[in-house]
Amino acid sequence: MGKPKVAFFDFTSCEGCQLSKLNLENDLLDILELVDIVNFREAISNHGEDYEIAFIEGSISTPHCVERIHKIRRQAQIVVALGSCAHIGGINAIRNNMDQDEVREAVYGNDKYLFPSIKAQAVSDVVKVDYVIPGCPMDNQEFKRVLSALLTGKIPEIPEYSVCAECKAKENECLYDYGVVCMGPITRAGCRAACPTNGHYCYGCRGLVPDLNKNAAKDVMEKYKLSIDQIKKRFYMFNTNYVNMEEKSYE
Amino acid sequence: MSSKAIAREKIPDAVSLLKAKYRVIAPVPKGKTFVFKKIGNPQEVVLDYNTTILPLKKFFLPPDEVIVKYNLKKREYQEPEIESEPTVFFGIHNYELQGILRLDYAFGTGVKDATYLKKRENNIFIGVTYTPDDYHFAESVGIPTDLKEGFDIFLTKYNGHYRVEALTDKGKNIVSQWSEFLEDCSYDGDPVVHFKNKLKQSVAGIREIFHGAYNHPVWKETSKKCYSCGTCNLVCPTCYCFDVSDEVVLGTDQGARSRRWDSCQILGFTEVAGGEAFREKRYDRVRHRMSRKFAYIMDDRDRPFCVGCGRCIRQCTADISITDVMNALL
Ligand code: SF4
Ligand code: SF4
Ligand code: SF4
Ligand code: SF4
Ligand code: SF4
Repeated sequence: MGKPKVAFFDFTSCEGCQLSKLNLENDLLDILELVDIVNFREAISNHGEDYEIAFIEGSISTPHCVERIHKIRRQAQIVVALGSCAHIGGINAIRNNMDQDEVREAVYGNDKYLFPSIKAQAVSDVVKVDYVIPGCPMDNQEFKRVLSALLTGKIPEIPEYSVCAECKAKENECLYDYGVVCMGPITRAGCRAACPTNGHYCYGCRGLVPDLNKNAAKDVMEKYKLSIDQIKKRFYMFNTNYVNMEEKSYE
Repeated sequence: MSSKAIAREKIPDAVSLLKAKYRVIAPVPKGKTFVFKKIGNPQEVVLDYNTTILPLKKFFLPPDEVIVKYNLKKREYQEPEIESEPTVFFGIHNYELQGILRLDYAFGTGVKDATYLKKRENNIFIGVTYTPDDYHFAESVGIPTDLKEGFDIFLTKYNGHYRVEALTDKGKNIVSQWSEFLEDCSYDGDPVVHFKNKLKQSVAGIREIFHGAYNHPVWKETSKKCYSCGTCNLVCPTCYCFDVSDEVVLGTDQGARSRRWDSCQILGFTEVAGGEAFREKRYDRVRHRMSRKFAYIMDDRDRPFCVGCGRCIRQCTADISITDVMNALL
């Protein structure tokens, strides 16, 4: 059996995740021994159409994106969403809170009708996604773990517990003790609590925990004197697509 | 017998002397709070502290630990070498050591956990009295501040001094080496302490409270405030649950199996193969934690698996208090 063929595709994003993969310098040669990379715009020039694993970076935000991602899904056996934009819509989705016509006008002015766009969505909102590597940018260690699992026929696992769990394991002081509101308790771990460990609150870039208790989170943030508007902004930074702030349900 | 005391300012000298022979672990400040740490400079040691972020368990059951390494192709495995460096744990509160004794029970009864037990060899514990803050409630779970069980030496604070009591042979040996720092002690009482946080009822009979409490409203009420972050378990001296995972290094046959602290408040904790979750509802998980502490497991002396350190209350960002929950039941 030949080496699995792997392709990377970028959609609406800053391409930081692909670039951060290039930072895997030490491992890149090992990786190239294990897979054939047939499509990777940032690094190679040939564009193969024959691949088994597709890594997708970026969110789906135009009718053209929708067409492209369907085509990729038809070809690939495994689709992996790379980074926040592909995983949850990410930063791009902030604009989903605005009127879409206004957004087009702000960006393209009078040419707005030439550039049709839709709300910025996660790849999984449009096609089936098999695995995700969260984060803004994605974490190289996690990328290697997921790739290693895929190549050895294991199911790649990413944490479903919160950033607090990693933050406690590092014995960091909690930012709430300083009156700073942190998204850690409701954000999916896996970054080794990168932000709180460096003194900054978590923005939620790895997406919300699957078992979210949004009302509890809102109550805590309110207690720490964030206004409803500020609370919304904390959620909207990366997680617009996953919070309907008006909805109120418990359990 | 005339008892001995050490002045506060002589403590660093006493620690220096210990350092010559042992690894010394003691509380040191970290920002507004404290952590247990291997001591470099003896001046760092604090003896007036409320509690540390993580309990001593981190030295015996680290947050993340490789338990076996293997080679898939050669079908070989090795267990990592565990050193049990002679260690003095200095300035330890009694509930903290009670937490270790509960872990000893958990890891040493039935199937023995060699990885844990090995690290428990060659340990010396030097205790110190403390003033309870708003969260400690150790007295309510049968741990009054003068309980000295398990300590080799116990220091009782009075007037800028500490009375030094050697309680074991190992302790006596250390105290004899400290003689130049010691003076005669005039104090032979025990400080009077008040716990602000309490259970309404003491531990005797507490297990029975759970019999009729399965559908008590407190579980749902509490679960509305809880976002299942897991902090309360991770910081608990008597929580020992871990998750096991395997990782094979990309492109090699080398792999390692590790264990990592887990928490019963997290949904994935109760998930089994096939995706079934036993405690899908958050209130089931809240009830489980309390039941584990006060009903399901008692050590061989019938004491609960909560030592009243108050960490889970202090560090819960959602202000959930185990004493409030229990008091709603009592
Ligand atoms: S700083 Fe943030 S991530 Fe860390 S424990 Fe506090 S809330 Fe959780
Ligand atoms: S701490 Fe939060 S914002 Fe920072 S990397 Fe982790 S998930 Fe992203
Ligand atoms: S620390 Fe508080 S919010 Fe987090 S799981 Fe425990 S009780 Fe719930
Ligand atoms: S349950 Fe809470 S108070 Fe009891 S030992 Fe654990 S952390 Fe301490
Ligand atoms: S079941 Fe929950 S309460 Fe019990 S030891 Fe495990 S994590 Fe702690």
